[in-house]
Amino acid sequence: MLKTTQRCVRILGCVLLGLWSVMVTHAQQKEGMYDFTSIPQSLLLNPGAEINFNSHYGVPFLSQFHANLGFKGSSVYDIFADDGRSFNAKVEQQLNQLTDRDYGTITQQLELLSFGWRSTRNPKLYFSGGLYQELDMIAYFPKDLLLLAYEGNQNFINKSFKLSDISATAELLTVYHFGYTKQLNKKLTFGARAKLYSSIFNSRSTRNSGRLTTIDTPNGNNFYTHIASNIDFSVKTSGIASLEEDLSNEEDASSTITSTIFKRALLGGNLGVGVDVGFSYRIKEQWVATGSMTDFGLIAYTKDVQNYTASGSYAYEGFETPEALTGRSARDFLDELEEALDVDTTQTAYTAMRPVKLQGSLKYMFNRDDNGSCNCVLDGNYTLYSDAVGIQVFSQFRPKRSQRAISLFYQKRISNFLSAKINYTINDFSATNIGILLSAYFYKINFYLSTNNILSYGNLAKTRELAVQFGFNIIP
Amino acid sequence: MNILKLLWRKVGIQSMLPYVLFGFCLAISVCACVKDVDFDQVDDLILTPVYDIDFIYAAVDIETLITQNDDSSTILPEVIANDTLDYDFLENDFVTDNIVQVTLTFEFENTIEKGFDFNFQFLNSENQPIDQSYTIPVLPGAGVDALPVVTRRDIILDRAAIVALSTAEKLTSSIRVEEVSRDLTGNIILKSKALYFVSYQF
Repeated sequence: MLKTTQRCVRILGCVLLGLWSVMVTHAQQKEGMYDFTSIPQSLLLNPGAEINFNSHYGVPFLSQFHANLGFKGSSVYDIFADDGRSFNAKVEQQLNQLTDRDYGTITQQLELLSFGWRSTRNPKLYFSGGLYQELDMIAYFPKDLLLLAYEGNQNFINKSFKLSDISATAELLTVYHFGYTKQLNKKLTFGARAKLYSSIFNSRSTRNSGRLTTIDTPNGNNFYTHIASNIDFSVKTSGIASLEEDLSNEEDASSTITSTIFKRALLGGNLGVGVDVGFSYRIKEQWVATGSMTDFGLIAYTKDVQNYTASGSYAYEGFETPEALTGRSARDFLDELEEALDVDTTQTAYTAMRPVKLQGSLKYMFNRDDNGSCNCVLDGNYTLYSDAVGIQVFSQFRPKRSQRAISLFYQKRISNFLSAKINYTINDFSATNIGILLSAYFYKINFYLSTNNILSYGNLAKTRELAVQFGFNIIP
Repeated sequence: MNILKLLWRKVGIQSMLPYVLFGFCLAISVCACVKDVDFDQVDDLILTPVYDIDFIYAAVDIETLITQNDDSSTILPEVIANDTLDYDFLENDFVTDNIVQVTLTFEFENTIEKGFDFNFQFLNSENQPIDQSYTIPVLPGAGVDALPVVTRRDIILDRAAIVALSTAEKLTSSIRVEEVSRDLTGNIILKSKALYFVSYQF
């Protein structure tokens, strides 16, 4: 029991510290990839992108790997610096410095299948589809409760600890998608994509409320009254209870879990639907505005659901004695608390929105990238330019508030086989976030590599965010 | 400028540019490192919260105690109010291993013109006393019309006591007043709290 408790506390501690370790301000933003139309995966960020290729096939399992780690408010170095200061001192500093608006995120995507082709009947129509796996986690910094765990309540008499500080979601899912991109006229390209989500697991604890307070009561029955007021707390999970069961079954646990995960990845778990829409609009010959909304959808969690809930209020001022005089029977604090707060485990189904992402850009292109022989506009095609500058905005809905970012970019087609894009992203926390994307094209094979915060590569520990993306496609 | 143009065209810098960029990309990937950090510091982290939590409380009127007594004599040799509460907090493994000290604070407000003893002791599941019994002598009050006389006492349970009390499941307490006159009036108010000093090492 002790070992289990210690292990749990240790694991929890390591996870929290791990979340502290890096920071991100725009979790799923792929600032390099957005509107970089020579890479097919740009269609996943804006189904209405102005693409020029006639077909594409992603190399299975290698067409897109994306990972983004981060913590807003702190860095690995802030916590783990080998600078002679005591570890407790550094942790204390972070505890004081961070707020309940800070958070840690981990996002990872792996494309398993990707394909697309231009319609033979209507060359202005391009179809694309595929399958990818996604892991998305966000945990806000539960400042009040960590403070309560780290310092106790002794120095916080009459101060409330908010339960709303607990806000976290984690999900692992596969996404099946199919969409189209259509050049509607000389100015407008529109695209939409339907998505089918197949959840492997989901866990969320959001919109919690209530306060824990120790009130000084000079005129009361005892020194203090400890109050849990208006508690409304829940942890919803789906797909986890059965995995835990599999884990506890020590014989053959790993193969059972693997087969369960595969089954769920292949539409055998909780399902959901969603949609992406987007457009590109040529304001003028050399000016393009784009916009997209992705992952507008929800998942219904009906299978393998296990929710933990507590709601109500409770006040404790110690045990009254002697019972013989009070006429009350013996009290059990924990039983009373459990009853008052209606602590319960339920199997009630729930639905949850996917984190919707909104993106937009304004781009100015220059330096015509042909020998002037192309009568592109008359042909209904777009003129190619080798250079472009512009501005991009990003916003992603999150449990507490949306994450936002704004980037300036310069992109260039350097040669027939190499294009690059440099982004400078502005946010509240970093003035030095420069990202780079390189896309190469050799013998019908497209390879791209993108990363951000390149200035921090000298010592990654000091960065607060890091995103990496790469993949291979065949573009005949 | 002409030299630069010449270099650009003749030496073929333009054709080398992709390789230079890829080289740069490779270089930053290779150079990428994490330094000046020590993750083993997690082992040094010690959590030392202090929790200040109410313990027991009582408000006892001496007249209630007297009327409960069957003895009809004018002077009662002894009046006792006993009580046993469930208290299994110290039985928890986490508590036994990570609480370094418990400071119990008792505060009595007495208006009875008589001093008395407050006694408490922890019991195991078989109602057998564990470790020592604690007695607090409470000062006599100055009567119901005067301000109550306050007796305050801290009892420190150290590591040895906490370990000894790890099988505690109950707490028994008693208020014992000796030689009580039947016309004695006033009351006793008891407030108490416990400071739990935790030391948890990762």
